[in-house]
Amino acid sequence: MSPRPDRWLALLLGALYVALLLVTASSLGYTRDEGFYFYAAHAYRDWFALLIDDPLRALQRAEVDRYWSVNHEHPSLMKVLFAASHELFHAKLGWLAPGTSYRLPSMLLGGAAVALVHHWGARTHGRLAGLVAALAFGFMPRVFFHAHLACFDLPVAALWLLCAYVFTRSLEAPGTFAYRTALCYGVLLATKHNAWLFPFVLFLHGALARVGDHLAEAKRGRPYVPKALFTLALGGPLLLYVLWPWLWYDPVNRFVEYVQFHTQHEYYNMEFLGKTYWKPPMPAGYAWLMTLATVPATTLLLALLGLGVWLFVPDPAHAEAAPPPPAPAPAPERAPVAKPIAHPLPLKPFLVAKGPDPQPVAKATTPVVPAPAPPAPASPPKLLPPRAAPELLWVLAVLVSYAPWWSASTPIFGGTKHWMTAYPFLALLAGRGFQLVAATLQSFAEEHRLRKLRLPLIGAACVSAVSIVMALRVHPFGLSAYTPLVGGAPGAATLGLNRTFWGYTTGSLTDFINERAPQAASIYVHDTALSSFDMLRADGRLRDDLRGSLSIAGSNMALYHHEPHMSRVEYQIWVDYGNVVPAAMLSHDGVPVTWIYERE
Amino acid sequence: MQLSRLLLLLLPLAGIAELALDLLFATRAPQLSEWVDALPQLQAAHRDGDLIVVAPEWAEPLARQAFGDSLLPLVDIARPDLAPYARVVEVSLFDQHAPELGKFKELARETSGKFLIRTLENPSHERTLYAFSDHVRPNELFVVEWNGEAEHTCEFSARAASSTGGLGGHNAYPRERFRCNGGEPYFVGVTVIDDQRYRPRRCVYAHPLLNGNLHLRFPRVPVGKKVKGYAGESFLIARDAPSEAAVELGIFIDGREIGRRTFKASEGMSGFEFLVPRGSAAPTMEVTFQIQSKAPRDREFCFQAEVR
Repeated sequence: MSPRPDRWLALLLGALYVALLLVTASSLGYTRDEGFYFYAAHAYRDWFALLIDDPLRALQRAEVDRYWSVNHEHPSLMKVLFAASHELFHAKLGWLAPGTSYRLPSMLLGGAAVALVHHWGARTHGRLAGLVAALAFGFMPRVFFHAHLACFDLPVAALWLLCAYVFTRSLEAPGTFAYRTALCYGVLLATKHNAWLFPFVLFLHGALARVGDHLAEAKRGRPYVPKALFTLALGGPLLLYVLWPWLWYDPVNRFVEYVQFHTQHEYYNMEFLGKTYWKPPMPAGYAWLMTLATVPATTLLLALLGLGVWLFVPDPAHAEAAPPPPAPAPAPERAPVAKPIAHPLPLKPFLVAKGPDPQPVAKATTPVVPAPAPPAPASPPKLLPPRAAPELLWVLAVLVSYAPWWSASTPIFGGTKHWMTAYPFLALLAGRGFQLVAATLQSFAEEHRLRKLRLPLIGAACVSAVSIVMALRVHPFGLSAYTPLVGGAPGAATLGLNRTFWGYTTGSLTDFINERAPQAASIYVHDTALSSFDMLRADGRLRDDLRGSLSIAGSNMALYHHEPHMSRVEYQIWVDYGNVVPAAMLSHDGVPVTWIYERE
Repeated sequence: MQLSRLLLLLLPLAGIAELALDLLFATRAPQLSEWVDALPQLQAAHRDGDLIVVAPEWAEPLARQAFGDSLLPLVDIARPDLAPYARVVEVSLFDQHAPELGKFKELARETSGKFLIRTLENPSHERTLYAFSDHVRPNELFVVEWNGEAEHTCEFSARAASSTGGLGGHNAYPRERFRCNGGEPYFVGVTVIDDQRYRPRRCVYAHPLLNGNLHLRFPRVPVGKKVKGYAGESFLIARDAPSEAAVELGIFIDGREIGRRTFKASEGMSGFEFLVPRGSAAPTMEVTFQIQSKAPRDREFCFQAEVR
């Protein structure tokens, strides 16, 4: 359990993050998929209304199918939450604009994820490590973008993180946390299909973290399996079934259909290094290069450092043969110097000193500095890491999240969002890395009588500033954001990396459209879903007399969201409008993203 | 001090350095106003008939907006190739250059703000005598359906209903077109399609007939050395088409066939070049394009052709 101030700090961070998302939401247009989810949420809301009015009828198969067949390729939980939020915060209370009210549940989960990253990071490696991790996660430019949306990508990342956390706790206290893990996993399954990957993290963790236990137990004929794995395997799918009415009357066939939809998903187009991919083989380096190109390098560097620290540097908090857990560390000013990296212990997690049964993770009671290294192990090491070493779980969560992109047949159309479940753990590793940086800064300050400078805090500000500034600066062009490693947006455009997708940038052209469109004009929406366009009107961001259209011919204005394969849409506009000169252009850092034509 | 310790102490500065680079890259590319500011110098460098090329290619839409279609007209943007242009003016950013201009000879260069404006001479210039896509209009083109027994003329309409298929649909059907039998897609007119690089190609659309051959007869074409061009279909639409999805193009000069080629739908646009036979002293010739397909349904065939 983290100290009380850390819990409050976690809550504060989460709350501030949600507030920031709410404040910045109105400048962000609606993505294509959000339009479909608005529609689905609307249908599900109608079913709940029927359930209240006429429960027996609502529960009949025909009615269940009628309402829940909408967007049945995805589980329903988030869409139900979107609908509930819309009903409460827009329809009843009038506190939020319609679109923002649909988005609120994702924002809240985003805030919860930031809070949990801080909590877990602080609990494991100290307050500053938690803070750096939380900020690194919340302000990855793409995460900040997705955290706004009424979609499933940020929610599934948040719930995946929560499941992993609860599972870790279940290893310390198997009782209630085992059941909570199952509950979490059911909710995760009901959020998005990549939840099905999550058990691999636990199985691998179980296999790697407990090699010694497994051998010992197997010799006794009682193989050890964590209780949480049992509860998760049984409870998770059961909860998915309960939470998804579409499955109620034909669970097997519909579940098979659900699996097939995603395992045989259409290959949408995606540009990568100047080539548009629309069928396998997909480029092997896609996920890795896109991570490098979109996650701030400072965060990646810290995560790499965190990984290295975990692998090679002795951590007193995790050593089994260590004396009783260290006494509360002194205040930062008096904190001891961390053990320098000069004395690595190769493959340390798998070579832990033999000793009594492993202890739970010792809480980090100092905000900055780990306790001094323990004495050298007295007896030979064995292949057994500490019971709940969280870093192993973090690393596995990252690897499993990326695992589908080892295959050349995995679609790449979602950009970075499909492996976003890895990012909280990358951030936690970054926090772990920062812990070492902070300890080094602290020792430097001690040596040079610079304690008053609070160097660790300054260091935290330096490594966090880049993410925060970048995320806020690129908003609302989150999907156009690239890091300096590839030369920013201009460099990425030159490399031939995707500039935008999902049609959300229409939201940044509303002022121009409102000003220039004739009365009752028809606007060709291109990649924006009509329901997303309609939400801009419902919010009052677009004039009420304007109509979205899927036909260029007959439209008064035509939007164009650039992707190479979409170019033919622009060419059709040229022919139909007799004009190749855009009337207005949205560019991000000088790179054209979306533009609009006016019929003369 | 140990190197590892020094690196750890300096690591926070990596955050500051990355932030500085982020801000630097954010302001590196010119904004629209800077493009507009470069216009006078570009106009000074540009002569009638020059092609303007933007490097890097992704910046071209900004150039269109800033410079307008007098400097960047559709015929230039959706050109078949560079050969018809004796001179090219390249508007360059970040010291990047269009790779296709690599062998061109630089005549002049000057900077304008963040731009480098280079005037280049084309070492492989071929003068275009006649661009067929500029003559898709009554009296200059006659479109005839031939089913082996009888001819039917496709009538020209200047006010047909324009139609666009969007991302996954048909190409833009222009208002001015020769309408043939078979329904809306069966016509001859000028449109723009995407090639295998998703670049634009302004071309003569000519859907092959369900039964018979489609003949496009241009009666008064100046005599040149060759008929050069490109033909194919929208790459996005046809890239997964089966191999039998193909269109055959035959070219006749004064009734005599000079060449024939089959264009597979999945290949995007590919080139052809046929020599004009010598012999006639007449200043003009009649050029006929014969278009047919064994599987004509949904073959939105389009060709660019010029006499050079």
